[in-house]
Amino acid sequence: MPKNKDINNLINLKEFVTTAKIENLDAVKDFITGELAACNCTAKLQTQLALVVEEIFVNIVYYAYSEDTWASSLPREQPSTAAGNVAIRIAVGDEVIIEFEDCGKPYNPLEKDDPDITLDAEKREVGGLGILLVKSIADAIKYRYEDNKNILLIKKKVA
Amino acid sequence: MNINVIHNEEKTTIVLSGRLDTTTSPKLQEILLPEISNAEHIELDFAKLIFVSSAGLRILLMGEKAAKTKGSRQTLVNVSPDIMEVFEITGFSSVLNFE
Repeated sequence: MPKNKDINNLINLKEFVTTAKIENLDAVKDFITGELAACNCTAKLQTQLALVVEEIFVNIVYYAYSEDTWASSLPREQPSTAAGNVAIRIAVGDEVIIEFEDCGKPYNPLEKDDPDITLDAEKREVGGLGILLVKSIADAIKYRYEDNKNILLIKKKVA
Repeated sequence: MNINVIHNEEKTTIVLSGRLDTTTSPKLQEILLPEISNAEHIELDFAKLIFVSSAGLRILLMGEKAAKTKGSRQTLVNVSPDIMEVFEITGFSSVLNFE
């Protein structure tokens, strides 16, 4: 069970553990949207959080268990082959709390600068857009590295 | 995601339905880039598209850049408010062309 008291106190916590591989993305998103649907969350919230979950899960797949640094692995054409596990937890109350936990190298996705979104198409790059979307949709995001694990906690109020 | 390509004289329309995400975006990349090199105007019809992630944005940006390089046009039609929100957050609302 998670040690984070934020999420540990919630009785309706659900957990899904899978390997950090792209082919598991749909199962992860189905898990999250299934839980949200079971709690009568709106279709809009389900779509927004499916987007958040995709962006974070894909980041973990490409970076957490990779030998490359974030910068040198862009563009992300080569997923890591030595994939470890990812645990995804969700609790739904007045707000939705989603937590990701992996045992990859220390990696805080919030540290990266936001991309310049005012540039023309010719100069635009795609790196960092996923995290920008996550930051914009979530009400709160917290990263910590604890017991050799990356733990990312995301909160979103139920409208 | 399903992709239907309709060739007309004045433009090529690519009709997308479902989700443009990490899993499906390579499929669009495979179809879109060759079509752009063969048409003056590529129209992407989003009427039946329900989801776009950053992986989809990446392909749309590649398409826009390829069209600009070639001197042709890539336009998007029937974009839902939820997907437009993704474009607005990322600044793609001013990078892509909407009709």
